[in-house]
Amino acid sequence: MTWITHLRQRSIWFLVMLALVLSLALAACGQQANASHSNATNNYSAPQQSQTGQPSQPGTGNNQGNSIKSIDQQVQSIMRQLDGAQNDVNSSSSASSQDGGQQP
Amino acid sequence: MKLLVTVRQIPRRFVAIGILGLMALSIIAPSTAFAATTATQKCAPADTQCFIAAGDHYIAQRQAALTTLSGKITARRNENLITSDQANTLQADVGTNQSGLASLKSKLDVEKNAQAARQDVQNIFLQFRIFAVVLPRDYRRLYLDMAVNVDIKLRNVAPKVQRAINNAPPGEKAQLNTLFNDYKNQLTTAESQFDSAQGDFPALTPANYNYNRTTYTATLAKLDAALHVIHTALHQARNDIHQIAKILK
Repeated sequence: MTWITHLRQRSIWFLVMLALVLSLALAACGQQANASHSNATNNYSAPQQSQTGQPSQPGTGNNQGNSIKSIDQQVQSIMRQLDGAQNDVNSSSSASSQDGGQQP
Repeated sequence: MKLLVTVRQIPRRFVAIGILGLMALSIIAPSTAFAATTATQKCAPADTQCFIAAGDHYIAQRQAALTTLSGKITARRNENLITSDQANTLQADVGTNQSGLASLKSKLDVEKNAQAARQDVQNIFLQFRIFAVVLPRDYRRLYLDMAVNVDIKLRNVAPKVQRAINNAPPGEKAQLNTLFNDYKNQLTTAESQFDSAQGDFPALTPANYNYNRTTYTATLAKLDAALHVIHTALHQARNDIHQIAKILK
């Protein structure tokens, strides 16, 4: 076998190994993303509760910026929950076919 | 050695396709491996036990799905995303269906006649329509309840946003006011759909699904259109707030 043949073989095995490593990494990233998403939704109430104790006046300058930033974070958090509810609606619609054509 | 020679002769594009396929499989496989399997079961006309077993299976599936819904209602209530009245209304519907299914199971499990057992199994579908009607309807109601409360929360922060805009540098006010006006308009758009959407729920019943499918389908489509408008408007309002926050940071 020539050195070119060796090189080709090694390249193929390298590519196969690389693909496996990438696949595992992608799968791991997917799991991590799911886990962080569920954490994000579960932790919704925390910022909401801490916000209720803050004074209603937004203040000026940096305080004002912080207040709006806090409102923005609250709104983002609520909307993530609403998106979750929207996903449940879509899932329930997809599962609706289970009530037809299955009877023994 | 022969294997290596054979591998070497495989065109590169096939190797590339194979690698891509492997990657795709590794991503898809975990999700499909745990996907629910639907076991269709055919019973002999006189096989009472077969009908009972099948019916129990279908009832368990529906009870589990209703329990999941109930858990989500409780979670959203605990997060103050729905009121106790809204939660109670939904939980009452879940409870009615769960107790109805439990009664049907009690009846089915002691049937001695295959025809009666078969009718009980058919009633799981015809009378309850858990997957076709109850869950799609109740998840939509849960969504709408949440959307109404999100709208209230967004309305409640408007005075704070207004004060922040009033204190902003003059050069930024025009853009901020444009965003804030759009924010208020989006909330108005969402609110304009609430009553219409609420009015659609009473028509989403198993009876209408079974015997008045045209009305059922049209009502569901109307409700979905309203929910879509609400969803889009609330998201746009969120984007407006986000833009305002970015300018005022």
